[in-house]
Amino acid sequence: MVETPHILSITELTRKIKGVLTKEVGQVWVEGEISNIKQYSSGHTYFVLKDQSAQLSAVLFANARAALANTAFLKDGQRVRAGGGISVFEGRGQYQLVVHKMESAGVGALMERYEALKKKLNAEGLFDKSHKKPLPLLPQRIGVVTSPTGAVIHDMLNVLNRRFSNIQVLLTPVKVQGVGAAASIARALGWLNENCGAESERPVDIIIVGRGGGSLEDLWAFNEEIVARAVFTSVIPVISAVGHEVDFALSDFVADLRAPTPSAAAELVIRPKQEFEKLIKQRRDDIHRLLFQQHRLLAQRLVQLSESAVLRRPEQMIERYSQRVDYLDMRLQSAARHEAGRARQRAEQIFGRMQLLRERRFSDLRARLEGARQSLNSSVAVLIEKKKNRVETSERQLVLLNPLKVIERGYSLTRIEGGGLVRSVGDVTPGLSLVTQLSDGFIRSEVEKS
Amino acid sequence: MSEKKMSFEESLNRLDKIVQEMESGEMELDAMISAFEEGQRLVKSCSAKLNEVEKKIEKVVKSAAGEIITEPFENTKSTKE
Repeated sequence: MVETPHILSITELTRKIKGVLTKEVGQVWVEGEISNIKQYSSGHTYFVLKDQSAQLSAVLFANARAALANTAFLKDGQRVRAGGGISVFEGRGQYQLVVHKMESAGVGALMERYEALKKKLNAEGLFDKSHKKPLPLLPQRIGVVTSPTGAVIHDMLNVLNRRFSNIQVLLTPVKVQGVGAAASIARALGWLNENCGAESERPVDIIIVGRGGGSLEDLWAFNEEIVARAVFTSVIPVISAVGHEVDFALSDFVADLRAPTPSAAAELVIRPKQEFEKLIKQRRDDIHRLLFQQHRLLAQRLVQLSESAVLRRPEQMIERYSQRVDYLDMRLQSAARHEAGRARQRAEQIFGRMQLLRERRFSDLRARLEGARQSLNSSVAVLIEKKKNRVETSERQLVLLNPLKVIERGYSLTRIEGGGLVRSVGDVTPGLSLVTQLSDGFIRSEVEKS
Repeated sequence: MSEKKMSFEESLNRLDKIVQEMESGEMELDAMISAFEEGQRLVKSCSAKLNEVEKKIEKVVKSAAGEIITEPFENTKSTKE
């Protein structure tokens, strides 16, 4: 007899298969491409993961989806890595992967490119602090480079409007992901620098470039070299605001300031108007207060001065000084007198001594003079005596030799009348008149014969 | 530097400086009065600068003729794609 096989119900078989799969395969990680992804109103997401030759149904329940850091890769065509448990959906007779964790599979290669480019740009100095420009305190016009649709621009505008009611914003719409995004962003930055520079009619004085959160692939445009260089060469200061707080795009490193999110950028770009108003009012109050204080201080001083004795009875001041002057004068005088007395004493002393000295010398001299005179006198007397003697002697001799005395003895002198003495007979000729001198007169005679 | 040409930031800095100088207590009354007057002018011009620009949110677009112009941008929240 042929054994009848044990006949299972479909449910029983399915349950058995489920048990085997759950036990034997259990928790796995797979990598594949998403296709046919669909999210239902329940919040659960159904899709298929496939590779070249096989496919796997997968479900991402709502709570697991909510737990994902980001969900940007949940699109058809995205390569992903998914972790979860293999199970069977009995209703459909379908085995499936119930996904707990998911991430983009392209991450590895992209991260390498990111690191390489980061290193290159850093080495070139694009990240240097020295290139970072200061942001204007009160921007007149804010340039925004981001997608014109989506929450980002609206959130930013809301924040800006709240902070400053009369703000001016110029949006240059760009693609923030996908093909051509990087070029679009770079072009927008260039356009703003060219057309809204400092010399333009309505210049933009600060640019915010950014986008909302996403996967590394989504943010990739902001890691492209062309965008980094456009940010670097921008003359207008740039704030880079890419993704969420934890995301660091290369544009963040190059920019003059990084904001953790686009809304944060809107806060960093301008202070609330009230803050400025408060600051100005504070200064206004300061200068009022300071001037008032100074004025009051000076007024007080003026009152003090006017009330002081000096100004009320100025003579008092003079009197006081006058008395001092007198006192000093008196002291000066007595001192002078005292000094004068002493001086005079000294002078007199000196004078006396001088006098004494002089007299002593005087008497000395006088004595000498006297002595000299006496000796002179005696010498003269002697001399005179001598001379007198000689004179007397001579006189006596003379007397003796006086021809007239000779004449008294009987001799006579005969002279030719009108001529000289007759000394020899030859001196006369007969007839010549002669005068003979005797002691008591003359005799005139004539020569008779010689 | 003519006060008209000073930027907001420069005006504010100058105002700070004036307050500092007045606080230093080394100013003669005459100097204080003219500093006060300058300060008043700066307060006025800074306040004016805050309200100088009128609100304008614009967007850069390519016109029908192909040139790049700006037009007003409406800040209405669009539905997410």
